[in-house]
Amino acid sequence: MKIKILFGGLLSALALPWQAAAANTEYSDLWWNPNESGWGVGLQRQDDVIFLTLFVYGANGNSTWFVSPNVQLLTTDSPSSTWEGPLYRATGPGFAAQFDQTVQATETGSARLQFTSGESATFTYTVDGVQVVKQISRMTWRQPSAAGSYHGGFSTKIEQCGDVRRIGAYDFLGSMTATQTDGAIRIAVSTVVDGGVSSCTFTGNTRQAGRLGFWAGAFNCSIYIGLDERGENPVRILRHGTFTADRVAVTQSGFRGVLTAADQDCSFSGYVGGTRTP
Amino acid sequence: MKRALARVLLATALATSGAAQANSSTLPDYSDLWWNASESGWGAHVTLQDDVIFLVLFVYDAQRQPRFFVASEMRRAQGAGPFTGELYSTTGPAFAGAFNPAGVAVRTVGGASLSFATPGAATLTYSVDGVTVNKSITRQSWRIPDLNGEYKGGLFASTVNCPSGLPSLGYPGSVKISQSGDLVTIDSTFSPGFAEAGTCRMVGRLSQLGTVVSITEGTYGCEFFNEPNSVSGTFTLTAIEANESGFGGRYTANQGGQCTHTGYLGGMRRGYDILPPVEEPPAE
Repeated sequence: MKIKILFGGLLSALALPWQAAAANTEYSDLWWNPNESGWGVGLQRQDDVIFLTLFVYGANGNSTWFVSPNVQLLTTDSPSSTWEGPLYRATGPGFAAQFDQTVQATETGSARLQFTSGESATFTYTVDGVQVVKQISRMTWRQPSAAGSYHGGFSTKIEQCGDVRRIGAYDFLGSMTATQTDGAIRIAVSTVVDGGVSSCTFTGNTRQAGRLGFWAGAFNCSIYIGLDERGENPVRILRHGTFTADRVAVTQSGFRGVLTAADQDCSFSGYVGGTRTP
Repeated sequence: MKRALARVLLATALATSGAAQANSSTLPDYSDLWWNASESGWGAHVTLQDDVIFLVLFVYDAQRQPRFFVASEMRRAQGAGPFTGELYSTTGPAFAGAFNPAGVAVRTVGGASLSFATPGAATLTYSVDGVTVNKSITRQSWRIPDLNGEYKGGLFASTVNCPSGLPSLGYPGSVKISQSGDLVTIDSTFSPGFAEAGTCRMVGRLSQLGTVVSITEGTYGCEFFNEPNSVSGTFTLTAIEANESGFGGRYTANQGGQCTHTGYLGGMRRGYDILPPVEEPPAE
């Protein structure tokens, strides 16, 4: 079987966009077992299909690779999900020669990915009846900085409040400045509503896992709600608590991640992010 | 790969300490599966973390057997031009047995270069033991991204020669994307209190480059609540990256010939559902 045929089968699905994009956990990365430096797995996700390339060594010690171009979701899409697809070994024209269409692919077994979070997984594959089980995580070599100027903030559900009147939805969006140094992040957001300034500041530590960041720390918000009865002095509500921002992707156009937080009274879950301002 | 990965491990340690932390990302994300569409059967797994690319090249040797090479530290000289780095061949313990990393041996076989003409097209040049190979490569696509959703964000751009005379514009607020096939409609509502309130509708065609998409052939029209005059023009949105938390891309537009916009359009996903209004029962 030619790999082109495999790819062609995938390409035929182009007219079928996947509908559950909201839970589209980004698994695309270079994965490895840090205790077994020397082999790895390349994952590339496009909606509901992962293309997996396995880089290992054969019985003679030479490098070799297997490919699973159609690894499909078996469970509900979430950071903890299970995927599986057939695994192929291919042969073809040497890289130094003119490339022709004589590639042959043979199905050798299967590949299964059980993600336990957005940053680790159990990888099980079989080749000619031999099963291998490995723990893998994202390989990290650089920590991108989110430092910059943005318009953004957070958009969340509010739940589990002692004061049930606060349960609902909450957006806080405005001018945002992010600074990041030595594994520490600080994000300040301010906005003006009804002539009063409201602000929130998030400070915490950053950890990088492959292409994604994981932030955790504390926040303080000062929310302007109007003037006092005399119409002279601003009245504010002060909120403070802890937060985590998971699977944060920093890109050319901004940054975005999954936010969970809790203040004195309520829990928040949703998204945090910003769009760069020129 | 031991030496190559030892460098990676060193880089990881530096990143953890913060020393390897780089400036805010301004590069397109070149991470993807790349191939030559006319030569289906080999490929290149490219992963960019900030300013360093890790390339895994999976090809075949002279005996037609699958072989991979790695360039674990590809950088740009002075932050510009192609990414270049040494290319390594490795041997190691067979996958079927216990893996001892001490058994991995690495040999430098040449170099690798990636020259990106656009975010979706590059020239890959590599050499193995004196044999140099040049290939044109593009990102491989197998699924259309689904941008459908409601977001909180907006459009922010520098402007040149525009009627307002201002150097920039900002339309912050809610953004709704509706996608049907390759037709994409972006409806945005600007937040009152931060900028001039109004609405914009942008319509364009989606084209895909691997995990990155673009909207081309775009037209837009905006209306403002406190102004009688609407504005309209053409736009493109390129290098769109979408994930579970939101989307963003580079925005360029032209309004009436001389007026140009250059900036970003994006947002985070709305973090809550909006329930439809409850219909009142008809009065008896």
